[in-house]
Amino acid sequence: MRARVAMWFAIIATLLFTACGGGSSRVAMAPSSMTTLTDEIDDALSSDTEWVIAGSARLVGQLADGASADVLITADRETMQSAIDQSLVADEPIVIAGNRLVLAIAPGNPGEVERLEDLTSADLLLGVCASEVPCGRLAAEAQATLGIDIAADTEEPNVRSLALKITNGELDAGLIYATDAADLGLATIDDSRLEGFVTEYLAASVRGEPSDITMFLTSDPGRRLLADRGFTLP
Amino acid sequence: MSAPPRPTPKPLVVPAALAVALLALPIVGLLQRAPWSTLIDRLTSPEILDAIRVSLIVSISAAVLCLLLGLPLAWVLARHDGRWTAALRILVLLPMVLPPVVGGTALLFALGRRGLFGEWIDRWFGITLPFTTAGAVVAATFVALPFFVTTIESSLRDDGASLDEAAAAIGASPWQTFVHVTLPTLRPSIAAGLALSWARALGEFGATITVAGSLGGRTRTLPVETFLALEQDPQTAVAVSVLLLVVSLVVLTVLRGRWLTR
Repeated sequence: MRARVAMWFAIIATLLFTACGGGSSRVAMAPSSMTTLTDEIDDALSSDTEWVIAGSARLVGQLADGASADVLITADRETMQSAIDQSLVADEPIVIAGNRLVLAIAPGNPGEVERLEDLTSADLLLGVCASEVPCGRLAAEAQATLGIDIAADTEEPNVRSLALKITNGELDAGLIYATDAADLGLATIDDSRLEGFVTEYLAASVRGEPSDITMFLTSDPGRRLLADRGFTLP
Repeated sequence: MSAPPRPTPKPLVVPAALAVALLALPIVGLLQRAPWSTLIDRLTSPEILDAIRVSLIVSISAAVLCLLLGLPLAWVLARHDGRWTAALRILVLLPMVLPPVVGGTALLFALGRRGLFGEWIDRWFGITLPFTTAGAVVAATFVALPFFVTTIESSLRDDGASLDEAAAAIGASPWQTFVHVTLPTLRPSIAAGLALSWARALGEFGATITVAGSLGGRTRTLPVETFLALEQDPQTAVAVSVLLLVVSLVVLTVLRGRWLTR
């Protein structure tokens, strides 16, 4: 009986330690909107990368709480600035890509959305990102600048959950990133007035050594990959 | 009357202490980070007051729905045995196991605008669940129902059917028996079940955000507000968490107290 208890303890202890122990691979913190790039970046680089994917502000929060990483990529300038202000990054961040705000419509366009002004209709089910996250800040900026008051039925906590609700037809339309529209195959409505609303992606090294992920993303193959996924290039 | 205290077997002491530490340390961590001096200001901002109101409406409605739907179901489960009852019991437990986001997505597939049944609910009753307070209530009820049903069912099983049989023997109809015999003896368990399901509904996040989205004053509950606040204003998120913690402690203490002094 005692031997069996000891055996179980040994098994559980082993599992716990193997689960906690990490390899010597690099750790990259990247915003949710870069999820679709990680496989290609892994293929292009020889050594393993452990990706930590979350909203930009949450990534900075994790760094502030003591998480370790080699490179930090944020989906907007404000969040990177907060990392700089807290001395969480070691070098000057560089702009690696940009992401445009687009008006995406549900498959089949059930709400018959044709232009930005249609988003003021209370009869449609519409979504934007919450103003706490970068895509929501951008949407709020666009609404204020263009004088269009979107009759939103939901302000989603991240662009991905918003994009998925448009994809499955629960929402008629919404303002999302060009990359998410491209990735999910959502139709978008071209409106040149939205072109100015772009968020910049910045990469900075956390420990001071230049990151090969940043080097790859600024190289020609890296830039091709970014453009292919709907990002704009600096 | 409580049992006389017995010495705790030694091998149980350390794991029990570890369990207490696991449960208590996060609470200590939260309280230590709480912005005590600005707590009241943060909790009385218009956004938070809106979220408190939405959360109260949603969680209380969900608890009431659990009572209205869960009590009959618990009775059926406790008084029947067989293959179908066993299958039904597993169905009741599923929301406890499913990640709430998956539960919410499944609810959308069934009751959403493009859902299997959602179209008909919309056509017949004029109720659309996505992005409405009603949707948030349905999501919260979905995750909270198992807590209510299992509490009542185990109590019904413990009491056995002998009282029911006695009532039937003196000529009471099944409905009379249910109302005058079963319900009064169940009262403490109903309080406990309501407490548990209400607490679960109050803390619900994943299914709510999936089904109902997040709009201030309509569907943005306290947990959703907390999740958003973590992005920009973690101090407010901690303040809201302290509020949720205190409210839950009060309600659980009051209602569980009644249950324990049964």
